[in-house]
Amino acid sequence: MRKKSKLLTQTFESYRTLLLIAFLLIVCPVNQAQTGSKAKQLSLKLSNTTIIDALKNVENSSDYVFLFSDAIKSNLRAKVNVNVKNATINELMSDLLKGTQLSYFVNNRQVTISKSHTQQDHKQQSKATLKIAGQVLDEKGETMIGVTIQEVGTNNMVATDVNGRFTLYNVASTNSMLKFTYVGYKEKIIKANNDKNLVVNMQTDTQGLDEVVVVGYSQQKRQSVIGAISTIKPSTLISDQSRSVSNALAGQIAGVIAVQRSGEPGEDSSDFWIRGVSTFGTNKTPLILVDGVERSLVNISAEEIESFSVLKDATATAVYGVRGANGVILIETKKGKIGKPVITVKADYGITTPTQMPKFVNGAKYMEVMNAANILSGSNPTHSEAAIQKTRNHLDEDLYPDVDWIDLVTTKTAPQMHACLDINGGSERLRYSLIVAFMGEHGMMATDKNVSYDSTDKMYKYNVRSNVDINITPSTIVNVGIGGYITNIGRSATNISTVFSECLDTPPISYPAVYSNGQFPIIESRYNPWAAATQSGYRRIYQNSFESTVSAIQDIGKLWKPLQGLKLKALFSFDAYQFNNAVRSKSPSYYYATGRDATGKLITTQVSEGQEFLSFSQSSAGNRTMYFETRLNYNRTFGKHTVEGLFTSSIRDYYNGNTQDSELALPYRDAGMAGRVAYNYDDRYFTEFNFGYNGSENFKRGYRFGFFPSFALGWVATNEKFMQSYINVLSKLKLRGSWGKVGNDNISSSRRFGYLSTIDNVTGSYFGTTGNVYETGYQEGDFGIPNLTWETSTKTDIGLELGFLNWINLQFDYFCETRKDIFMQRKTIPETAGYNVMPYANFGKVRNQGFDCSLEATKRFNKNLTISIRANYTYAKNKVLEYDESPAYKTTTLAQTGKPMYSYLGLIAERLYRNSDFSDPESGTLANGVPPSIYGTVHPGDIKYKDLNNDNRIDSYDRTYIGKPSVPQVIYGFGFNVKYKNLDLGMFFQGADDFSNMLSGSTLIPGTGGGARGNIYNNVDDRWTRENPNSDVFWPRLSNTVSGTNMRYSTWWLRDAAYLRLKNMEIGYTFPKSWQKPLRMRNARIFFRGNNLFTWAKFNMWDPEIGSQDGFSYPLMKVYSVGVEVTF
Amino acid sequence: MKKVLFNIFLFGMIFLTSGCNRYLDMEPDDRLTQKMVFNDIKRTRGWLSAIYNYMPDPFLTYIRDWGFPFISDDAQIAIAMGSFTNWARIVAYNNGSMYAGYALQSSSNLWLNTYQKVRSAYIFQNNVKALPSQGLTEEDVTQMKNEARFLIAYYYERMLELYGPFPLVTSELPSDASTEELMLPRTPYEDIVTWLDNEFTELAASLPAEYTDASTMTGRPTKGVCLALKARLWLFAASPLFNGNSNFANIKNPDGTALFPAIYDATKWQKAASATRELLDLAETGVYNLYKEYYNKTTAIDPFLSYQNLFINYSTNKELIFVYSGSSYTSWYNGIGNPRGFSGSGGYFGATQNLCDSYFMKNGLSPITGYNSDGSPVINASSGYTESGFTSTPISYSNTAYNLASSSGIAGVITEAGVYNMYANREPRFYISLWYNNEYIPKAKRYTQYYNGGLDGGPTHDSPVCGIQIRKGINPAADVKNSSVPYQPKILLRLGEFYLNYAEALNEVSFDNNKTEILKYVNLIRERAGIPIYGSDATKIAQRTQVQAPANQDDMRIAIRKERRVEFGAEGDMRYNDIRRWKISTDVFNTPIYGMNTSSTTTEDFYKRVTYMTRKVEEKFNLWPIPQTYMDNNTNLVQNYGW
Repeated sequence: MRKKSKLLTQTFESYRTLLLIAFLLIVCPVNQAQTGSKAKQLSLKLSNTTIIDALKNVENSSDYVFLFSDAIKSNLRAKVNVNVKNATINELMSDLLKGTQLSYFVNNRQVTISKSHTQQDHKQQSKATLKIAGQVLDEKGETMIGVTIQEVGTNNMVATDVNGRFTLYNVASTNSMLKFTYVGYKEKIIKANNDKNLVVNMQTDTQGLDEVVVVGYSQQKRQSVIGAISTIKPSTLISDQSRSVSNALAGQIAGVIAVQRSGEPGEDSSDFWIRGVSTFGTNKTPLILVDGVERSLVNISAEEIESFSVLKDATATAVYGVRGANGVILIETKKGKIGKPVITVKADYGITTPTQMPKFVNGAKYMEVMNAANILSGSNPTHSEAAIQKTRNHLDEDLYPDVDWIDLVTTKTAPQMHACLDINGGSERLRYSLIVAFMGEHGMMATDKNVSYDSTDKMYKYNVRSNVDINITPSTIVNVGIGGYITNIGRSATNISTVFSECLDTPPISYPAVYSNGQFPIIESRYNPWAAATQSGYRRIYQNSFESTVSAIQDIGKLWKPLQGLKLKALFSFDAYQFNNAVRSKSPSYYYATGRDATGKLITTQVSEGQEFLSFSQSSAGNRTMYFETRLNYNRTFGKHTVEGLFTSSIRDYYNGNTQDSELALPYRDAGMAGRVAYNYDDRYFTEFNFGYNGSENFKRGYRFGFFPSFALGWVATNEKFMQSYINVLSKLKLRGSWGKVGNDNISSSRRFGYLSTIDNVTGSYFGTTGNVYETGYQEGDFGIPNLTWETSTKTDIGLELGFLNWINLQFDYFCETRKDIFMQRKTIPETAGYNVMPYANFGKVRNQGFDCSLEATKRFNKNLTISIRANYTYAKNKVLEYDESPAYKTTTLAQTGKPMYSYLGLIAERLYRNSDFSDPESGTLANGVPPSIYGTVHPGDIKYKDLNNDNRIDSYDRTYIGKPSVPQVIYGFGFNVKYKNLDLGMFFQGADDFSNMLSGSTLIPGTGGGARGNIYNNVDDRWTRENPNSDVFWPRLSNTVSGTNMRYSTWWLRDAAYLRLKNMEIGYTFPKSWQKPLRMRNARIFFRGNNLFTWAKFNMWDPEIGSQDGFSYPLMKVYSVGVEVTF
Repeated sequence: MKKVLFNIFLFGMIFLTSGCNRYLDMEPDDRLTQKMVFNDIKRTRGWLSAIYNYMPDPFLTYIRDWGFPFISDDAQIAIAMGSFTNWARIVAYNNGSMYAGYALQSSSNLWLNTYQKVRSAYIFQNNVKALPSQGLTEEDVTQMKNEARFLIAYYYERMLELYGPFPLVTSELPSDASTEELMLPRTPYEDIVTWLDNEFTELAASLPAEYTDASTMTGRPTKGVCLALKARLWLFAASPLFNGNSNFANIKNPDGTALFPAIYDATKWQKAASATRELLDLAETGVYNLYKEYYNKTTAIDPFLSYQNLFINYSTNKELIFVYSGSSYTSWYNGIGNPRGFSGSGGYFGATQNLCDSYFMKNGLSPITGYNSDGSPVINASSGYTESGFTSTPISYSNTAYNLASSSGIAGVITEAGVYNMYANREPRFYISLWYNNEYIPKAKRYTQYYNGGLDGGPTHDSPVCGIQIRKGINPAADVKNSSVPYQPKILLRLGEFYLNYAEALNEVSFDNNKTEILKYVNLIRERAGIPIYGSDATKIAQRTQVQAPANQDDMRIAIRKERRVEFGAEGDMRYNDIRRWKISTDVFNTPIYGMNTSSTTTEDFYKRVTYMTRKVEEKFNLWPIPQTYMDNNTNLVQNYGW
């Protein structure tokens, strides 16, 4: 250990010489204060200071005055270390001047310094120093490895070994203060005292009062945060086992509404919104900033994340001005920490399997149902009893096939693997962090072993992230952050989602996957999902991303004391992303069998000629972003007054290289300024003012820049004196409120520069005897709307934070947001205008309100048992207040105005028609008084809708908003962690409520594919029949074509999509320290983890979260995995 | 370092406060502006070209997007095709479940597209200018302006045929017009007729009768096109649908203006006749002529090749008045019109048995005159038609070099032995227009199989559901499976129509005064079709080289309608327009759609007449509903009758 720390010192010595940069004063605040009024007894502890500064220090704290000529000033700039206590002026002076060629003379209180007459040339002698040794223990008395011990004010530091022991050499004096730090534990400062067996007990930090929260362009102590900001521990994100961090958000963070709509590798990111949706405009998604730079959340590895903050209200987001309306997510990546290198290795391996797949009937049943559907549609049955028998008995699978396509093209399970290496460490002058992560995931598409290529559905992702912080001067820190990833995706040349929908669309009886003679069957313009999945060649997608950030922070306060607390930062970042999509495709020749010849040989006819070799095509594109920001931060406490200030300005330039549109290929630009003034008195009363002033290129000069202010007030009652007697019970009570405005400038994903008109290049026409002349077409495109401007969101938030017994924390926020001037494409302009593209306008208003709350409690019952629970709940309900809709609608039930977005507009199903509703059931002639339907002739067993507007006719005016929206209004999560001795168990449940799913699709109702398309769900028997004319069934009258009446959005097909799932379960075992020590481990743990293990839902045909209307969608996956994590 | 940082910071601040606005101005990309369009000859032509791009492609738009044959009684699509978005609208019409709120695909949405094209055309007229330096002369500009003017009239004429009155916009509406200004009411039918009549008259005077550079100008309007459309305009205006239709009497604008003429005006037939005469006069100067091919260089018409090649010959075909020049759907059309096992694509252009029954016999007589209540046909015994048994010998037709009907390839052999008698001894147009079961497919060297499980039959939805398939307009040389499909004309207007339009109008004006003229034009069509003409020569009638001519206006009307049914069978918009125009669609669909028993797997059962479906057609179906969304946005619009 000793050798190592010496080596470290030497490194820094040479480093210093190399840079030739004078180190500036680092004052130890503790000792400085002790240079009291005793004139003759001087105490001074200074390191790396100039003699002049030391003298000034003495002048300030004593009655001595120093005199010297300018000629020797240069000599006085020599660097010295001073550490004296209760010394005389002579002792001090000889100490100070001992390396110089200067001498001094004391006359009463006047000290004169002059050039020494005698040449003194002696080496600086090593001072007498101390050696401090000891051990660090946690609350349980367990030894702690890797705790950093630093002599305050110096670079002298060491970390505890596997036994929790440490020895710190070269401690200046017994008065030196030692600082003990460890993540998750309260910092501890202890006087050195020349102790040779110091025992230090560290306390875990459960309250997190000193915890720092990342806020817009700055950091604040948790206690002084009065904006609505939620944070999440990165470890929570890791345990989700998912490629995308976005999938871990639902139920984990109060205020985030999220749903995952697909489980396809590489395409499985969740849709998420902060506090729900507040606009029907294009842009509903939050702004995501990684290390202060707008980046994607999708492919960042959870292991790279140090902190994750969600900014929800106006106070938190106003500084992002015109882009902050949908909330902001701030992610900081891991930075190096002072201490010897900490190496963590993690790996896990898992298998995935779908949560729930739709189930279908087999071939024979399919034929029976088709016959029934044909009869009910007035047609003849198409399948003879003999054919059904042959299918049922699998007598001739070429001509009477019975294929479960889904089963055929999928594997039951697929593997998944993660591995991560994390190296972290550093000194006061240089800190480093390096994370390398790997993720491998296979999809569930089957492959054909007989083909020579690999069409496995797979995704491999390699992330790397490195952050280096260098103190190039004591007051200047330079950070270089580099991150990136490579993903290699392999797939079948036919998209998986395509194969999947083909499977669900191809009846079991169409043909086998392969004929017995080896030919691939197909019906013209239909699909052979097996051939599509396995015979169509393969696809490789290579994505790579590079992200870099260089920033420098200058602490001005360290240069000039009056400006203490003022820091200046400049940041430049450059990101680039590139992908290449290579497809090697082929197609087999397809045949269709018509029968068997006399010898029993299959007769087939060729349907299409294939291509037996792989053809090649590729596409590649990318994008890049440059960002530049300068920033001034001020933070200082004057007694009971704490002031924080911020002023920042930034510009961003994003180039999208993945478009053929000349307009979208122009760089996207943002520019703006933002500021903050925050003040707190005695940690009791808080106030904050934020503003953003920025502009958007989407608008014309004059409509471009906007000012977005916000205010907030906070009161921490528990810091009041009168509360101190209750503090043990009510450990925290904080009230806060905020109000402000934020904007959104994104008009549309395809429309930019809303003030400019466009001409569209469109299909032209052919002329000439043989159509030999083609002229490409041009026509009017978008109208330029000069006065277009941004959406404005006015947000109000009232929050309450409560702490009980020092271990229960509760937070509650009510919010209300009104979004106005929403961009929308006009919907009421009469078509006689002849516009090719309806113009945009700032039209519309939406109110979104709700609350979010969270509970966290961690209780350590004894040395062996710790239990923590956490829960949160988010409710957000929106309502459209203004919408551009026809006046004809406004007064009817069709009006969107007054209704939540994403609601279903549909009819109200009363019941199924009965025979008694008809005067002639056979022809569908309705009895008198029964309102006819404009959706076609109805028959008994069809859905009878309510004539809502009483016009004696069932039509589109009888529609109204039914059910809940398709986006959940409630997202909640709850879970617990138990740690008993070396075992730990965690479970987390996540649920969504208040949302609906509408079943729909041209082949949803059994039989409506006419026998050529569509599968039949296995609950088909739950249906109306002539024998059992019951309304209390799942399926109405079957028909052999899409029923204009039955297949409409209505309450009949509306389903409650609420679900609750066991999102995460983890059992871990930490190896005893005694086992770890010989291996030089600091921590070692193995675990079993399960994700999406159980789902409880009212809807039982497929996973309700995917929101599919017919189940034709890639399912979400269950994951079972085992893993190990070791820290060295 | 500190200084550098400070400078960076300072630079940043100064830049942001001063240069922000410029930084956010769009980068110059020399974006295309309207001005630049009209300063360039190619783009100017391109703007006009885009106005043309909603011209219907008879092979696609008529068949699928607007679905004319399928919503008339000529053709029947498998109801199962309704699960495909492109075909759902047709099936909705078949099921009677069409309604005003039906969400149309853009390609089917004539109403919306018309206004977009009209606006674009007026912008063109207001901005186009000569660019002499680029070779765009004043004459070119005049021609192009006329084309734009023509396109407005053309799209409006289509609107008038299908929707009836509509808000007539006759200028470029300002782009900042308020919603209220744009809420235009429908213009009365007769005002639109007057306006269009004037447009077509003026355009006919300005546009050339023929283009000297036809090889590049075909597809653009000529004098003849304008006269033809004017003739059609008046034919529609005179017809029962729009001429005193009592159903429409109460369709009035909110201000009380009646939109349809409430009283029958017989003089409109005279207008129709005169307008058609104008076109025929032009034709008779040699511009247009019925397409005929002759047998063995004699003067005897080869009816098979004449009628077949009328739809294939694009270079020397004088019957063509207006064609659509694009070619992308030729292959598709030849795919749906060939047996599916041969074309390799869906052969779902299925004919109805009703159409099959309408074709004359070889002797010019109708085989079937109606249906009994049980669906069995009322057979005209004198025609020689029978529905029992099979031909025992091949049947040859004289005067034809047509050799595609038998495996022998012998010219003139039209049916082989073993063909169901229903299909024997029919008129030449029958064989050119339809595929029947067990018919020889020359290119596939096999016989059609329309029964269940057959190569060309069910149970799949891409087979003809009535067991008989439309063959008309397909090119026997086309090999769809191997992507070898020659170019062929896509006919929007042909002279044949105007012969029969003329006869119809004259008959309505006065049968007695115009008997000769009427017969002349009907017989020109029959002559080319290779069947005996109408006459009154008793000898010839006895010899069966003439058919007794109709004796009065009513009989003549029936004869003309029968002739139109088969001459234009499954051809574009003809039959659909006819049954609407004559206001007979509800009567027509009282007869169910009949077919052969395609669900049968054996030949015996196959040749059994079955009802495929009974269409639900109401009086309101004669006009299309104005899409509900447009109604909702314009309180001045009134909906069509019944919708």
